[in-house]
Amino acid sequence: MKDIIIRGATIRRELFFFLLSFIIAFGMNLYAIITFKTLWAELLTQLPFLILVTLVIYLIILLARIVFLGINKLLRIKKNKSSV
Amino acid sequence: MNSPYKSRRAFIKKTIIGSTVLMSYPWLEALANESAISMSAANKVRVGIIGTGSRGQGLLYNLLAIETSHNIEIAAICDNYEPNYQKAIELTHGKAKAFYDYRELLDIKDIDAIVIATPLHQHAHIAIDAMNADKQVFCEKSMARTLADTKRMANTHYETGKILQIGHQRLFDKKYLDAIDYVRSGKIGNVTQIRAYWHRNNDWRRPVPEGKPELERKINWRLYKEYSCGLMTELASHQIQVANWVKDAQAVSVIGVGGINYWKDGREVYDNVALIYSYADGTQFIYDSMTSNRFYGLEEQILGDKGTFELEQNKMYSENPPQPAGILQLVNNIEKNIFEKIPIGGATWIPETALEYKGEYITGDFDVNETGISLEVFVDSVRRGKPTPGLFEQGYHASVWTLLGQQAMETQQKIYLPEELKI
Repeated sequence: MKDIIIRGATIRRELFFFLLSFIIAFGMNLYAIITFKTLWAELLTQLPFLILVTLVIYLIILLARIVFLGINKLLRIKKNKSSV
Repeated sequence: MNSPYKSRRAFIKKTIIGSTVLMSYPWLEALANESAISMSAANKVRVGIIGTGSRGQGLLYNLLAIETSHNIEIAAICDNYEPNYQKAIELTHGKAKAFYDYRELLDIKDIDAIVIATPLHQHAHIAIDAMNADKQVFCEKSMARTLADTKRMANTHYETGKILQIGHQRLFDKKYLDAIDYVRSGKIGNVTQIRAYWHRNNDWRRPVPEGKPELERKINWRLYKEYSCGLMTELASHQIQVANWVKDAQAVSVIGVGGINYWKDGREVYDNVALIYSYADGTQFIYDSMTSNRFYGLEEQILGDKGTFELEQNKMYSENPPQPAGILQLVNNIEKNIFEKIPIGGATWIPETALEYKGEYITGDFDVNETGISLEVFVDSVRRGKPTPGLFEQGYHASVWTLLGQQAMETQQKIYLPEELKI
């Protein structure tokens, strides 16, 4: 069986994206509280739901990254072929 | 014996004592103030049951469950239909004296109380004979087949001073008690409409033993006008009692229509009814019952300007439901923007369909045997030797307005309460 090695840089990068997702979710909560005039206590009480939103945003970003990397890879292959 | 009813009763007591509104109902006040029951032989309440069909057996089970804890004895049973007669003997292990003729049962001097669960048309003469024979009476709802019988029963009750409790068990149901408390305290605002329905999808027939067609009317008495008013007396009477109780008043008039539009099988009573009862303050009680669709089942809805109760479901809905958390609203809006279809034709207005709102529970714990409690209250009042104020009137008014509703449908006229039926 092949060992999978996750480098520290990869973990740091994913943690960065997760933190970014959480900041977006937190911002959404803040915006929602102001827009819908609900309780400020929701900054804390809605944390479990916020984690869920964070995960959804993280998955969306992940999907975008995969698409971006895929396109990037395709372009590189094309470039290499034309230079040969 | 630590009967399960004891703890339920304690629970009810707790509910009642906490509410000044509920304490104002004499039968609940009596329940709350009940003192310890003496277990002496002299204090034993001896009960006779007349009519031991399905409902009679249900009442018998309930009485047997409190036999020891409430110091009562099922002393006699009576039914003139052999299978019911034998079943009652079996349930009482042959200890109760058994009769085919209720008059023989009434002749037993040391029987204190009678429970009547016969077909409706027999309630009046049995109850009247029982009260005249110095017995206290618990009579199943609906009270009587005719308005004249209802009034005669009331007259006998007042003249003899004997107890005549009608089996409207919702008067002892915790969710109803809490809802009444909330209505009186203004939680759902001004009640301007009450709606109730009872929908079934069956022919309401009971099997008649093979080769004995002569038993058809005896077994299926609910389907014949001579014995019953069908949906009105068997089902609607419960809900009419609730409406009067919620309004703390009687209706002033009723209009209605009814007919047989589905079960054309020789029955005489309506298989569908629709009525509107009006109260003095303009509140309408809209009622319907049918036997060819059961999708909506059974419900009593109390509509106020601040909220709604659905009593059978134990639900309460505010007119201004609590707002969901901001983030939930935001996510909901995003979802709607992404997935909701943009209409390119059709209605140019937003339909006022019901809110998708699950409401709250009226009461958290409603697993109470209200029939058992109502029988306990009856036994308590028998022991005190006098009627519990207010309780009889609930059954009387329910019966009167049930039968006036029937009259409205039969005559196709708006019916008001006749002077002679006022008590």
